[in-house]
Amino acid sequence: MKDNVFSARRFLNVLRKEIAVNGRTLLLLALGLYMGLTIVMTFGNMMFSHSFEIPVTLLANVVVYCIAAFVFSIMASMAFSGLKTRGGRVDLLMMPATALEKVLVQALVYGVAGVLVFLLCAQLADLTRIGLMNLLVPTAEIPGPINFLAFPYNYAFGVSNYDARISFGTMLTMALAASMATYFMGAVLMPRYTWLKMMVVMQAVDIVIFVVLILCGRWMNATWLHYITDVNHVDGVGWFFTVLAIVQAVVCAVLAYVFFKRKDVVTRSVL
Amino acid sequence: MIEIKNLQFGYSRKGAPLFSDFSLSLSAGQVVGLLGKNGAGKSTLIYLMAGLLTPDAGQVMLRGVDVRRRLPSTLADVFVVPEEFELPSMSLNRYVAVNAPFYPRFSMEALKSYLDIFEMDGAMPLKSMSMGQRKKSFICFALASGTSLLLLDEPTNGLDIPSKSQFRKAIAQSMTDERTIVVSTHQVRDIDTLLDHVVIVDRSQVLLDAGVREIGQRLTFGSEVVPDALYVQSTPLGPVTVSPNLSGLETPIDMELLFNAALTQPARMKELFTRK
Repeated sequence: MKDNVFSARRFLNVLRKEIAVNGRTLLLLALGLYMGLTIVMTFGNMMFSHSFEIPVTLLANVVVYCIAAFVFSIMASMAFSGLKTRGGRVDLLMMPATALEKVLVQALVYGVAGVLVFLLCAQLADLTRIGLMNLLVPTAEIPGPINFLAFPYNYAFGVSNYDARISFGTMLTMALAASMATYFMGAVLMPRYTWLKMMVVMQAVDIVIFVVLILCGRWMNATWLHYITDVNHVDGVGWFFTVLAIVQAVVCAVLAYVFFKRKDVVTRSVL
Repeated sequence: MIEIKNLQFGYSRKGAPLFSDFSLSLSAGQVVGLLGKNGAGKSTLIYLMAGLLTPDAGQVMLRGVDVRRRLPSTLADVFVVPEEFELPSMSLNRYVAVNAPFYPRFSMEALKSYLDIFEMDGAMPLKSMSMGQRKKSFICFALASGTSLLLLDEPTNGLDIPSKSQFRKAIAQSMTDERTIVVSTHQVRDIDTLLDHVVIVDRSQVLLDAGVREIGQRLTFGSEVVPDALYVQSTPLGPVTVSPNLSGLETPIDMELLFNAALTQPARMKELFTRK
């Protein structure tokens, strides 16, 4: 019975197959990412090295995290590439493994491993920046290696007096996880042009939520607006949105599994 | 071996379903020809037998297990060669190394034997092969997988004449008492000598479900036009007919004529094959 849910041996076979089939593409993407980040960081260092108003390290962290949010959503959208074509769907659905094993492999490769590879590329690009700056503009201000992992956790969100200060890093991590899980779910539902379609869907959802909140604010006489913008409540609001992000991440991940398990080789019309 | 019970399935909620209260039973140790017109639902039936589609009602059971559950043990016992398939950018040897672990009864010896039949080189990159070569490689892997149920959808499409002969040889060599091979095709002449059992479907109905031997005993295929002939076809060389076999002796079968007779005279065909 347990063997029909999860088997480590099968999981490794599925993982091995995924890497064998798509590993080369992923390696080339990682290489492209490293080169792109190197260019951005080196260029940024050159442009802002004499600016005392914007610290280079802070700017580098902000830029890298903005790029990270973009790249993570694209990586999550690349999951389940086998679902794009009928032949690919037959291959993926007929693979002798459980749906859980197949989904976990996708989450590992296009989620966890993707994040780790991005961070590695960012650190390598940063070290390359130092080398290139010393070579090209040795007189410029060249900050030392930047620890991208530490940056968001050095800033707390909220100014309340009690201990439950939520770090910016926690909020950011959960927000990124929620975003990735949503695009991951989108990769199962809409295998072709996933990132574009999910962008449109999420923008539409954001607009609806925004309109609803504004309307609610008017009905409640904008009390909630005063509440969340009060500095004493910012900490609680930060925790609220963090928990919301966690729930979104979990729900989307579970839905991705459920939708994949119910996937057929041919999508039937709803009507 | 495989039981299809009261199957109901349609691609659209509107209109008549493709299969309605459809039942079929296939035994082990047979090469089954699944014949039908374009759009009759042959490929759909293949997908339903593999568990790749969810029926609206009914079940498809392989050795007593619902195939739609897609249990790993079931998936390891079924292999589908679809009409359109994809192979990754790697050599056949590498493809085998990556995929063979999923099939407990996979045989490297058998694979080498099938590759020899098809005159294929395992070291050749799959992407640099022609469509026919890729198909032959995929068929070799499918035959070597050792699964109890092998479903082939239009397997001879894209194969040249010598390859079709090689295909027949490979299929014949791969057959065992435990294995069932279902070949869905409209090119009946490519496989007619292989078949042990014939299933002809049309618009959710099974027009014929009989063994080749039984067909040869109940029908006769010739050029004599008799009053109670099921089907008469004019050819440049004269008429060819399908008639009830009154002698009881087994006669050679012409699959194309059989197919046309089943489509044009389904009621008579049914009556002939239910008669004792």
